[in-house]
Amino acid sequence: MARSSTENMITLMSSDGEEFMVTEKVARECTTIRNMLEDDCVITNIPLPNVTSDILSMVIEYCMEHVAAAEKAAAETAEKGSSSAPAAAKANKDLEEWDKAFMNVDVYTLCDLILAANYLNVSGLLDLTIQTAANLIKGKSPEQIRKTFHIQNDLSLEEEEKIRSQTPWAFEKSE
Amino acid sequence: MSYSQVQVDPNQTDFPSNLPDALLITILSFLPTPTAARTSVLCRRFRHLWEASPSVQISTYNSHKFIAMADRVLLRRNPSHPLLTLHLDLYKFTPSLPDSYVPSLLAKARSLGLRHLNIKGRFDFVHLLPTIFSIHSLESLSLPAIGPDNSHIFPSTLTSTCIRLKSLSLGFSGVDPAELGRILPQLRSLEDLQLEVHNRDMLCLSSQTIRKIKLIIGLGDRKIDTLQLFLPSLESLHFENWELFPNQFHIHVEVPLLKKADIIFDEACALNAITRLLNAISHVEELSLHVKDETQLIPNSILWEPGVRMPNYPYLKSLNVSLCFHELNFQGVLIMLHKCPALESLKLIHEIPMFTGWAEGRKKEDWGSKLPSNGDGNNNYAYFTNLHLGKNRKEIMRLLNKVYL
Repeated sequence: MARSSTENMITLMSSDGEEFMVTEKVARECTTIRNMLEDDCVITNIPLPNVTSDILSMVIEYCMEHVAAAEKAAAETAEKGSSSAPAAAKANKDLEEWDKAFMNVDVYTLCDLILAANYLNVSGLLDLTIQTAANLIKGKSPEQIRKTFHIQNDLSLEEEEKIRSQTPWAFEKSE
Repeated sequence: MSYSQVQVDPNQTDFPSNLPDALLITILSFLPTPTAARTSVLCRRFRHLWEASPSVQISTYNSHKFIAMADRVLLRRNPSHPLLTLHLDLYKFTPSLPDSYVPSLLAKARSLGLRHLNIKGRFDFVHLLPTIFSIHSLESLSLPAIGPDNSHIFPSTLTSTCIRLKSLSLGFSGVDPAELGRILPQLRSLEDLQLEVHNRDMLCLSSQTIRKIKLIIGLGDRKIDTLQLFLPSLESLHFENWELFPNQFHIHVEVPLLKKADIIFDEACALNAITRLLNAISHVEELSLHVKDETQLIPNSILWEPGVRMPNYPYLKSLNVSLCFHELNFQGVLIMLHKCPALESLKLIHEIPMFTGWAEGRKKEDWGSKLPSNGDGNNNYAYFTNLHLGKNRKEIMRLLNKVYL
């Protein structure tokens, strides 16, 4: 990470003791950290006991990508002369594609990302991960959902039948 | 129905056991209600989670099914589970719902502190309006087209209710806009209004609080000849017109704080309507104008009425114009550029007209783009940025003028 002379660097420490140095701008994408910085502006070292290093590095990757995209958009507006393509629309689509590729993870990682996004309060990442989890449920039978999320069915056959009979409309084929 | 046990690696905990209930409920709130309810059989922990989802979305063509769902998720809802969002698709059900059924759902939603109500579908819900407008906690409301010829649709007084309503979206087909004009000043938190109007000859809207408005004037036998907007807090205007304005068009627009305007005209026949609207909002900072001009027999000047002085746009920073850039319109932009001293960004997009025929002595070429050639080697569009730097501005004026001369 290049250190620019005008920007403050913040060190984030994961639960397993790994240190990540990020710009203040990237750290501020996490509302939880932003609030800490606003309460105490000289703080430079933040321990995050709830986030492991592999998940923290992913959260930082997400924040850096989104900060870079916003900076690039601002720079393009300030660029001299005429540009030849509708750049803003393309940049938005690129970022969406990036998000989509970023969400290509197994359900355990997805679960850890949801927890981290919730704890660090990164609203964009929380929406993205929750939506991804919801999409994994859509259009699947209960059996397929269990398989996807590795859920052990602890209901007896009789119990399951009873639940199904209470909300039969939930188990019909969609219109 | 088959029943089988999923094989799970005993060393790995299952996905949901790592997540607290609150986050699982959030995931379920992103799903339509039947899909969320399907999770009740996943395992014991999921048995009742879906019932706490703050979002209910019911969409079905079958009224029996609709009642079964709504009974379960609304009427028999645990009062300790607040309801934030209710999305109902109401069709012309066969057999139809009992008259009092949907009002009973809305009354229940009211008791659960509903904040966002979205009703879709073809359904005569004029009789629902008193109940809807009695939901004090409502922050946003979206209703589709209301059936024709219902002149008294809103409760006579709303002062004590809807005090939190910030966003209102109405797909109006036949309701008297005078009714809306009457209730708007009573909605004292309203910031965002979306309105579709058909078949009316007059539209007068007045509100102290609205900051954002989207107006769509749709097709109809009657045409709007009077437009009055008194919106002292308005910052953003989207005006979309799919109707021909009559030749006598009266416009009175007072929007002193307007910063951003998107203007779309499907037809350019009512030329003076476009220029009058532009005159009334010439203090904006961002302007986007899109004119689809498909029925013209001769090329017309859209941006300025010959013989009428074009207004100054003293604060305009961003201008985005999409229309047929034949010679008259290209000239119009050149004149306009001289009236925009603060302009930073300019986008011009040539809209190729769909020809249905043209006047004698006119050729297709008369509608050809006069824009300068761009980086892609065509003249279908031209984008310029950083015009506030004098050097750039001069260069662009020279480029545009060269093409014109």
